[in-house]
Amino acid sequence: MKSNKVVLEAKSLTKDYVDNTGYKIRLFEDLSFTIHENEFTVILAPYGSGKSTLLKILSRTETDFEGEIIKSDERISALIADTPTSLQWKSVKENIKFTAKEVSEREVQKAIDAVGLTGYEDFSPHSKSYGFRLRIELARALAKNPLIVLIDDALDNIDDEKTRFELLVKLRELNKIYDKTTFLFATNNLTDGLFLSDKLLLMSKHPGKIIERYEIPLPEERDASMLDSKEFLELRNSILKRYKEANDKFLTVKI
Amino acid sequence: MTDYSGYKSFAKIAAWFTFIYIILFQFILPPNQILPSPASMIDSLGTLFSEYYFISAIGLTALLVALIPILGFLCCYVTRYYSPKLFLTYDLSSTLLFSFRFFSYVFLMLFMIYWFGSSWIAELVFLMLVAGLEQKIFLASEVRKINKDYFYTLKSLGLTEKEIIRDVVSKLLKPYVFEKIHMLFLLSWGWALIYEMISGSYGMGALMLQALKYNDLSILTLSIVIMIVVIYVSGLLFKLIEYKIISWIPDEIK
Repeated sequence: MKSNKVVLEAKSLTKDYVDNTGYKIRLFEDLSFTIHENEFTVILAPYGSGKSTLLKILSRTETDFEGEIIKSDERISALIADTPTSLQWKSVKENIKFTAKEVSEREVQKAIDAVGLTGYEDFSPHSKSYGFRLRIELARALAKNPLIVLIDDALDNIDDEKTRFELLVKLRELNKIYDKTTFLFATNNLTDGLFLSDKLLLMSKHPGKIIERYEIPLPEERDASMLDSKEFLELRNSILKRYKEANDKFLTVKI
Repeated sequence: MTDYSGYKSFAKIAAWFTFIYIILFQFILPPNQILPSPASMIDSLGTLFSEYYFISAIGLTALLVALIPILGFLCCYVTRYYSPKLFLTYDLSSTLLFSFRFFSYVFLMLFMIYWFGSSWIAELVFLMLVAGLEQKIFLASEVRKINKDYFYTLKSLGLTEKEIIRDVVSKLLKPYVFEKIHMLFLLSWGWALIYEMISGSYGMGALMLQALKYNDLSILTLSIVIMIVVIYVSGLLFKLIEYKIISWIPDEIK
């Protein structure tokens, strides 16, 4: 059930960095947005617009920035990176318990079941697919009962369309199961972003700015048939049009 | 993780080389002053053990060299809290010093031989210093290659920097540390032999030097052959231990 409670508010976030040649470059500027409880929010932005850095700032693991972040409570903002970070020498269960020592067995098992790893508790991520490792990382984050889960283009490495789509559906499902946790997903893939989102923030780059905010009027329950629906395609085309208007013709967003 | 391909190819090459050597020097070529025939080498076995004290010579050198990986591993284990962090600060591998470090090792070796004479403890200290420095330089360059996302994701889940270094970074580095210790183990044989040849009173280096002085090429060749077998077997044993300890493939350092 969606609520109007604001769980995270970003106020005028600006980030500069110095490149290898010594030039100061503005990665993004004046980013302001609010995220509501259990509202699946997607940031759709091209490569180089500062998505990863923005998520690091929101998770408070990157502290060098201008602006302000206000959270509704002290629960963690769990970050899931675009490369696998599950620990290969630990089993699925050990991976979760490693960061969630204080969490009960019941909660750990709930997270394992929720991400679809039931029966794989003692398997190790070593030599497993990106999809398997992403599920571990989702379970690891969810077991901690986070305020928000920040996912950085984690599906970008998954080439198999079927696995990719299963994970998209799983993310929507997790958002429903963990109704006190909110998901923020950053991507450059329009189809993935649109499928997942309740709210979509469209960004440009050089420097990164929010150019449009969309409340997505698609139904709660989403499946493969939605991808070919008239409503979905129309929405996708209008976002793409807006994106192209705002960005250089050489910049592309994955369709 | 453990890769035995180097050892397998070496065994194949060595087998072919031995076969050709036996055919050439035992049956085809006449006796010569450079390389002895296999039969004369076998005849020299008794002399090698009785007059050259081969067992104690190779025992001492092997013990000194074997202590390097053991002490190296202990050093990594003890400093696992601090070593990656300490050596994050300065990358020696990018400096001129890195290319010329072997000259400083030679200088250090000569200095230690001059200072302590023929002392096996001094040799051990020298080998430890070289291995320790090499390992630290290696750690400094490898730790930079670790996927930084480990830091960010685990930190966002509430782990402290110290916990990440202790429980994750040190573990991620372990396969590479093992690989380096293995390489150092093989290199240490070279350093130990040179050290013993220069100091000239104990170990395999001194034995080989003595054989060279007496122009006893059968002894020299035989001792080299046995030493290669010892290095090969101990290197293989080291790889087996590595396989038992690390059973996962590190894909983090690319």
